[in-house]
Amino acid sequence: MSQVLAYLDATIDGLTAKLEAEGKAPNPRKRFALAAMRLARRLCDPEVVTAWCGVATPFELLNAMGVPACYPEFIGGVLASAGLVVPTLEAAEQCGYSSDSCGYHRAALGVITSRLLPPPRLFLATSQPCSAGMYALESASRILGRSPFVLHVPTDRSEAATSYVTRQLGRLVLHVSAITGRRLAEADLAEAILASNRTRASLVEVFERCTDVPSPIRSTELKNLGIVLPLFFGTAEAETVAGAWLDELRLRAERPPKTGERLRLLWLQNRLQFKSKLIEDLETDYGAVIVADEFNDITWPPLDPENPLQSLAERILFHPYSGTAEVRIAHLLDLVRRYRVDGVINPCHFGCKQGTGSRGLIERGLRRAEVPVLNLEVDCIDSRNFSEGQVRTRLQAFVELLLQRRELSAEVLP
Amino acid sequence: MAVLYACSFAPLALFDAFGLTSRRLVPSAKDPAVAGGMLHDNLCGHVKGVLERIFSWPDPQDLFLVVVSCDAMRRMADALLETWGPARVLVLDLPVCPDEEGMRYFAASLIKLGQRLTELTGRPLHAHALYRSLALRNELAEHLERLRGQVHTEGVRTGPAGAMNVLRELTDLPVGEALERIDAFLAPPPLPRDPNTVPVYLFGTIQPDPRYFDLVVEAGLAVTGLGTCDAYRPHEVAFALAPELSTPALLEAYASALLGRSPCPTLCRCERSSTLVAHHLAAAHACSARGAVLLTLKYCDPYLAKVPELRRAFQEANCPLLVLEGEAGPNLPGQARTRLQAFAELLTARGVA
Repeated sequence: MSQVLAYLDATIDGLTAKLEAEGKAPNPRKRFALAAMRLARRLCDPEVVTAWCGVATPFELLNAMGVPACYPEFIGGVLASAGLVVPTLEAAEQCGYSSDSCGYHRAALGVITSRLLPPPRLFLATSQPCSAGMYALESASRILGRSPFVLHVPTDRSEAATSYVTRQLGRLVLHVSAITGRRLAEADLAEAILASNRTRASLVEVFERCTDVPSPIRSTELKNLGIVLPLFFGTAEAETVAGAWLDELRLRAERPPKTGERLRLLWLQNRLQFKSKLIEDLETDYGAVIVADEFNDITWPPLDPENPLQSLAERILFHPYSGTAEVRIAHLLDLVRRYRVDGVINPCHFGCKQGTGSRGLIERGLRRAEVPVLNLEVDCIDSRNFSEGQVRTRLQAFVELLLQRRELSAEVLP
Repeated sequence: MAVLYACSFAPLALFDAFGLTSRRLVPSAKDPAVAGGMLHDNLCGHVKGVLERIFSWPDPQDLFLVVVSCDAMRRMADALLETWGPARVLVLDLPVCPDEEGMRYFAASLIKLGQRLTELTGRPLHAHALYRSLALRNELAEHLERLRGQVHTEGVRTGPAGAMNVLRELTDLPVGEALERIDAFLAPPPLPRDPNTVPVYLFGTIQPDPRYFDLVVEAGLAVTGLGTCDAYRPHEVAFALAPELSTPALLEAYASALLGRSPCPTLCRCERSSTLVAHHLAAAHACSARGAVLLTLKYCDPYLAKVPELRRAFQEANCPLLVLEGEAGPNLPGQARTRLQAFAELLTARGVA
C-alpha cells in the first residue's frame, strides 16, 4: 500500500507543479493523467465509499451520487504503469486464480486478496464487455462477504432489451442508495447528464480532428483516453480533460506540428500499460503513427435528460462491444475508413475473450475489406511473459510490409 | 429439421411443442485447432469441440440454438452467425442473475423464440401442445430423481451402460423415447456398491472426453453423486402446471423453472438462487461422498473464477477436493490418471484412519 501511495502522491505532486508552472496552456495529457491519479488516490482512501464496477457501468449515476468508481482494468492499468502489478498477479495466482485468466481481472483479485488497497464498499458487475470481468468482481465481493449487483446486458438490441436494462439501472441506483445511504437527487442526475453531453460534444470534435492527414496527435498521446474518461462522465473533470484536448487540437490546427507520418495505424482494444518504448520507436524509426484507438470514438447520441436511464441503457446496449462480432467489425471498418488507416494492430490481450476470442473473426472481417491486420499475443499488463524483442520484430516486419504495400499502390495509381 | 444445442438451459419443451427434434451436441475432441483457427486457441474445449462438430454437420436444414451464457458462448454465436448465417442460428440470452427481473426477461425471450420457430417451421405454437410437452418433460425430471437415487446407491457405472451415458442419450431422444429409455435403465434393482471403492462427488463442466469418467472409476473411486453441467441439469426441474394456462403464462412458468435449475457457474449469486458452492457442498454431503472431484476445462472462465472459493469451502467442510483442469484433445493427460490414483489413496488412508 505504501508503495502505491508514494507513487500516486509523487505523480500527483509532479503533475500539479508542472501544470501550475505552465500556466494557461491546455496540457490535456497532463490534465488527464492528473485526473486519473487523483481518482486512484481517492480509491486508496479508507474513509471514502468507493465502487468497483464492470466497464459498461454508466458512471454518470455513481458520480451524481458522489461515489468514486473504477473497474478492474483501471486498477490493473495504474499498477502496471507504476511497475507495481506483478505482486498482485502473484497474490491472485497463489490463491488459485488461473494464470490463463485476464491479467486485469487477476490484478484486481490480487489487490483484494493481498489487501493492497482498502476494499470497496460496492461491487457493480456487468456482463458486457466480458462475463469474465463479472465473475472476477463476483469473486472479489465474495472474498469480502459482500453482495454484488449484477447488470445483465443482453446481446439482443430490441426494445424489450432496452426496457430490461433500463429497469436494471433503476435497481442499480436503489442498490447504491441502500449501501451508501445516499439518494440520487433528480437535479444531480440532470446536471450529470448535461455535463456528460458536453464532454461528449467536445470528444466528437476531438476525434473528428484526429482523422486529419497527417494526424495532429502522436501515437501515445490519446492512449487510454476513450476507456478511462468514462469513469469521469458527468463530472467537471471529464469536461476539463475533453475541453483541454479540444483547445490543444485547435491550437495545433493553427500551427500544425512537424510530422514524419508515413503510415497510419489503428490499435484495437487496450494499449500496453507497462513501460515500453515500442510504440514511440515505431513512430520515430518508421513514421508509423497510431492515429486511432478502437475505444477513442463516440458511438452514442447525446443522452436524453428527460429519459436519463433509458438513454444510458441504449448507450450500453448499442456499444460495439455489446453486440455480435459482426457489429464490432463494422465499427472497426468505419474507423479504418474515417481515419484512412493503412493497417490494424490487434494486441490479443491474453485471456480476454473479446481480444483473443474474436481474433479470427476480426482478422477475416478486416481482410475481406483488404485491411492488413497484425495479431500480437501479449498480456497488456503482465510484463513477466512479455518478450519485447520478439514483439518489436513482428511490429517492424508488419510496418515494412505496409510501407511496401503503399509504395506499390503509389506506383499503380496515376 | 432438428434443433441442435449445447447448453443445459435450452428450452427443450418448446422445441417438443413444435414437433422438432432436439439434439445436444456433445463436443468433439479430435481436432481443437479447427475452431481455434476460426476464433482463438485459448477458448474453452467445450466451445471449440462443439464448433468442430458443427463445422462438419451434414444436414443443412438443421438449426442451432446458442444460449449466450458466457463470453465463449458469445464467440460461438459469432462464429456460427458467420458460417451458417442468421437464418439457421437462434440466439437466446441467459440472464446472469436468476431473479424476478431476469425471469421476466427470459420469459419474454422464450416467447420471441417461439415466434421465430413459427416463422421457420410455418407452425403455430398451441398452448395445449406446449402444456403436453411441458408435462412430459416434468415426468422426465421426476424419473431423474430416481436415477439420482440409483447413482447414490451403486455409483456410476461407466461404459455404454453407465448412467452418464444414459443421461447423454436422453438429450438426443424425443421426450417420449427418453422416458422409455430411463424406465428401462431403472428397471433392474440397483446393485450394491463395491465396498472397496471410495464414494466421491464428481462435478464441473461438461467433459468433451468421456474417458475422464473411466479414469475416475479405474482409480478405485465410486461416483455416488454427479454434478457436471451435462448430468441432470438439462432435464431439471419438475414444476406445477395447470392446463388452462395461456401460452405466455406457460412460458413464464417454464422460464422460472429453467432458471431455477441447479446453479450454473455462469449465473451470479442473487437472492433467489443458492450459491454454486453451497449447492455442490450440499450435493457432496447428500451422496455420502468422502471427497469430491472437480473437472474443469482450461480457459473456462466461469468455473475457474470459482475454484479458489470452492477449494476454501470444501477444505472448511473437511471434504478433500481434487481439481482437474482438462483440455479437449485426442490424448488423455497421464497426469490426470496419476493425480486421481493419488487422490484415491489419500481418501482410502483417511477412511482407515
